[in-house]
Amino acid sequence: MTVLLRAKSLGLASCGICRQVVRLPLPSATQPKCPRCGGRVHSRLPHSLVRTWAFLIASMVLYIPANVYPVMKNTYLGAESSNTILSGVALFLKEGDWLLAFVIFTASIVVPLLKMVSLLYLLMSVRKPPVARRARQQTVLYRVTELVGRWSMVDVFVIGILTALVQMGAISTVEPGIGAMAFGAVVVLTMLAAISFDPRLIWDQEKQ
Amino acid sequence: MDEEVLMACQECDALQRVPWVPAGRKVRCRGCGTTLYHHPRGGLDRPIALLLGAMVLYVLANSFPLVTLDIGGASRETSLIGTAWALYNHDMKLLGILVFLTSLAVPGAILFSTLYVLVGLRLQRSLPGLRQMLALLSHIHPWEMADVFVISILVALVKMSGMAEVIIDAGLYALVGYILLGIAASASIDVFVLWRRLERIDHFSHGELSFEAGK
Repeated sequence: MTVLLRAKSLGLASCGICRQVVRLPLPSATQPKCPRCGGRVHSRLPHSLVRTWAFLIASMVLYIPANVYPVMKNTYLGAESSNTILSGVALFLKEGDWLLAFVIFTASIVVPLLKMVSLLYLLMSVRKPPVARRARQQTVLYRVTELVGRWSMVDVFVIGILTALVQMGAISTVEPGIGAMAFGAVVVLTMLAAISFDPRLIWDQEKQ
Repeated sequence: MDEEVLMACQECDALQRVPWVPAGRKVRCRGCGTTLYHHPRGGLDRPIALLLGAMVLYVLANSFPLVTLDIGGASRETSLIGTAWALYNHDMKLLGILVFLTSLAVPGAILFSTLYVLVGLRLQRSLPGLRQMLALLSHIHPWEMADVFVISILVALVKMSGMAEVIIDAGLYALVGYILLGIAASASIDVFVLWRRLERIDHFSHGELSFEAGK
């Protein structure tokens, strides 16, 4: 099997928009533009690790209010109740809706946590030299993390739909809680963190 | 067409010469196995047809309510925009904007700009803004969440079905159809292949050669 060279080691880079391979000018020269699509070409996303850390830490901080404060307030025939994400899942379980409990638990708790943990792991391991096979697994892990992130929005949409539908005056109403706002921010921030991370960094510390 | 293309993998940066494969096949990175590009079957006509269908359904999905809820004679319906609006009006302005963007605006923007790009390429013209739209399409995709929205409607409906009568309206059927057509369309589109087509059109429109349709 032939040894694969990294584009960076040859002074080349792939355009992030159209994939054209471009020769990079020497350091400190002006930022090169892609001759095909006109986009800026980076060998690695600029400040990838710092940005990923920033978005990740922000999302972790907001994950606390997202779970502590109620995401939804419900009145039904005068009785008021408010639910956090976790107590909402517990309510589904109590009512025997196993499937719904599973969907919400996965989308609102498992997916965001897994995203944070896997990004944290990638950020910490990226400075160490990769054993080839582990780098491959980490690349897959990154791809999965980036792909599943959007599904965390399920809960936000559910709250929106219920708020729109359940406005029956004295019978029943639903109001969004402040936790929903924090949770929406967590979803957006974890997505931004994943997008900011450059998977090519996983392969960079390889011995030539 | 047995030329080769120089590509660097977006995930592991491995530089490699890859063959230009016939329609229906894909090329994987020799280093990490990521798909470098896939050459879809059906040329440009297939995704254009699918997206035209999706466009009709998208308009319908936004013209009719999605679901109606009936509790003891009092009924209420909602739509995509209605959901965003409800959050916006209940003191969750940012959340309402987020829902508006991800469930309605971004899916629509992707749909219409993809169609514009495909039609431009099909007519072999560099229509104004085509380049910018194609560039935009490579970044905007993660923010498209119409499919997540449909799952959320189902969750909300099951949750409500115990204490209210739930009626599924025309908009929801249209929305599901739009999503299915959209999935089929994106399976028949590869952005890298589109850039190469655009490049060839630019090349030939400088007057060196005449260009046959459908290549």
